[in-house]
Amino acid sequence: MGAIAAPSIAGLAEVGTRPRLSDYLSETWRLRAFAVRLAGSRLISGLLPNRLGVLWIVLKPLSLAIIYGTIFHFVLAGPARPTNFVQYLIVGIFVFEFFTGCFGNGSKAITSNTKLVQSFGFPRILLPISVIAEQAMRMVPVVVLLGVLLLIFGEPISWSWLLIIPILAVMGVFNLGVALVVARIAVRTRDIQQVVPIINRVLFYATGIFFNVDGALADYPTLLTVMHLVPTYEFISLARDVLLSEYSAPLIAWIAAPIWALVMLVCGVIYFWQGEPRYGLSD
Amino acid sequence: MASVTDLLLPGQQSATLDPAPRAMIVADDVHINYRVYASGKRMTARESLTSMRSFRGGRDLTTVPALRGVSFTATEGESIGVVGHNGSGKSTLFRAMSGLIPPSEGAIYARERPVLLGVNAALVPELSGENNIKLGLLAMGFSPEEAATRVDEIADFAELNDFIYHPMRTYSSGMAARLKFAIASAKAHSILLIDEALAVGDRRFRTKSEKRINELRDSAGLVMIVSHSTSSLKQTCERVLWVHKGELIADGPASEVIAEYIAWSKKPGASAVGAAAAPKPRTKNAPIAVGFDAGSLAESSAKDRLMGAGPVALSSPPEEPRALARRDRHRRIEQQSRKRSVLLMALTGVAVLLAVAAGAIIGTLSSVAAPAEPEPSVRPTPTSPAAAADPVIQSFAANVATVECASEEAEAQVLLSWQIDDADSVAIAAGDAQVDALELPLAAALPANLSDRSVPFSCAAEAVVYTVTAENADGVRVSASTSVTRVLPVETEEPDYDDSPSQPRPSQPAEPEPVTPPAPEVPVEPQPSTPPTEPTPEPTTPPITEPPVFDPGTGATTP
Repeated sequence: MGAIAAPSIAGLAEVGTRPRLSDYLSETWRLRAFAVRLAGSRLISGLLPNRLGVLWIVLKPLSLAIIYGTIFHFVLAGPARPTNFVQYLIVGIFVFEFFTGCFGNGSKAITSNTKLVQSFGFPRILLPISVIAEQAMRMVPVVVLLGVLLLIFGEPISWSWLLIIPILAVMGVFNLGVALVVARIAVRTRDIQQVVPIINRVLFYATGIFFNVDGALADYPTLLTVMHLVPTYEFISLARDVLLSEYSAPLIAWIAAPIWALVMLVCGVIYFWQGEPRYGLSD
Repeated sequence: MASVTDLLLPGQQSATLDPAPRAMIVADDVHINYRVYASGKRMTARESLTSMRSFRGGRDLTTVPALRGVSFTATEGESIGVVGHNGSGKSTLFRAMSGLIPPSEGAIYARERPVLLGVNAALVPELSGENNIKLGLLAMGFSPEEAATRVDEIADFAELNDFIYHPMRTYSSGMAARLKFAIASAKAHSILLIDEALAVGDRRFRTKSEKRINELRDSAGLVMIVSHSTSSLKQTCERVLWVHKGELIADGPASEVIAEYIAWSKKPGASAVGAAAAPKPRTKNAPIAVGFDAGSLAESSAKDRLMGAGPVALSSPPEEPRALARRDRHRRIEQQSRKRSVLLMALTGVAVLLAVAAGAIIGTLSSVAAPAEPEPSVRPTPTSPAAAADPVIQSFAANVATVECASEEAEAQVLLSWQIDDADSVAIAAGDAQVDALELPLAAALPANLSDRSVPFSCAAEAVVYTVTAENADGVRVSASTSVTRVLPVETEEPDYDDSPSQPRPSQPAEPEPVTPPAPEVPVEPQPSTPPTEPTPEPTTPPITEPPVFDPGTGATTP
């Protein structure tokens, strides 16, 4: 019976369709506090159960640095061995950690928050954003530790060290783009979460975390150019450029890094937005 | 009951002129098909293990219709209950209304994005209740300051006391449900869909939440509740929908529909899920008069992408434009999925090609890599044929191992033979150790295969090492050497030492000036690499007045 006479759908919006991109982004901006809050409480709740708590943020990259440092100190020789091996290595590992975290957790941004997605109607893009925000918060103690370690290893302190902040910010933008893409893929195709560690590993070696790409590939100019265009390489070599006195990044890194970030962000946002109505389906 | 003409009033007019309440949700012929990765039949453990399905990664889709053409309109200020037995599609309907599941056919329109409160919808389990409240408020669009001020109010409403600071995963289902209800109902003017949340709270909380639902309804919200607790539905709702097997079979005043539902559910076998035998329950509240206005839908075609396709006459029965739109939509979906599968195939093809190309590149790179190695390591050339382009010295030997010298000033001739593969230029040298013959040639630009090339032998040295060095086009050099020792005619004999190879060794370093016969115990034993007479590898250092010693030493290094 439904005794309501002739209602119209004027003023109603179809449920389950994506909003216009501009509306979507302005809504995202309006709810940004949610992403920050989620990131902060995630970070803390993830650390609280551990006895060492916040120390783990720095212990993980530190132990990686020690492991790789010890092994490759003996293995590496010749042109592939960078000058100031230790400093070179720790900058690489610490900065790369930022990417690994964003990439890995970004792929789970939606699928691990299914309940939240099914409870509230916020723009889903806030979830990958909160992943990036959480990883950025994690980077703060890591960067401080990095500075201390560099001082200990005798790197001269300089004003250029401050440039690490904008470089990491641009890298964060790039990471966001990547996270958006994998987050959407992971909703339909969980398989991507199996592939993520593999890609991470490939990039880890392709980026030259513990060896000097220019030295190792001096005889293969084409391959070297390709390696120079690997996005993680750009950011890490820029970080090395500003932090280490004896390293200078190739010019191409300065040009390609912001381009990578911008392209990845635009592609990521559009790609993620197009899948907006379907994120609640994952369970 | 509204008459059909009422239903067909043009939408715009009814919105402005009619005092009737505004619609909050309009469901237009909603179909939902779940696609499940399942066989759809009973399988034994063995079958499910051996079936190809698990290898294909579960691409075997079975379509299960969960909703089959549900249409209704809910207006502001209403609170609507939904009943039906388990598996009838109530929860699916709610999830579709909140936008979590896109309808496979039909559409749902809402004034505001509906908020779904489900029993099993945890928020963030590892966070404390307090944090979850804040997050929920922020997600609903409250500003951080507002959220901070309202936290206490919501915590009080949920009556969680100190548990508000504990992680949500430690909550009992009732506590979690209370908290979720408290958060979701914090915001007025929303469409609230409550999925069985009321059934879990205790009695006190239930009355409280009923009060809150009434408040929400009064503030022009819409509340829809799924519940099996018909008594609480009767109290909170004035209208009830009855969903049976994905179809809306009754839509009317709460008391009537619930009475019918209860009467039906008491029949034996009625509530079996998917029971084909059970007849469709009969009801006098069949939703023929669903307040859905097809005409207005067609008018607002600018808004509605689907209806805009065909011209719709106002007087035509409402089914016709709907059917048109449905067909249209169906075709479009089909087309899309076809396009997508073609695209997928193309992408797969491209990926395979890329992989092959990458493999080829790696292959060529690694084959190029070998010669360009900056420092090729030591390679035992005579025995092991090396990489294709490298020169290989197959043999290099002198015709004699010892030369009889009349005196230390005498000169003799030695004939050298060699056989070298892949050599561009060949040179020989003589000295007291192996040298690079191309640098200090005795003779250069020699052929790669030569036998009995005569070279001078100077009796001044106790032994002469002849080196042959070959170089290929790429500049890779390989050397081999052989040494020839002199025999001074002090006491010439070459008798019987074959039997005692071990004896000379201790004797040599001990007596540096053996002009006596026992000393020249030259072993003719063919020990390959090291001169057998000396313990040290340098053949030149031993005492000058050596007995004639023979050693066919061969060794090879690349520069």
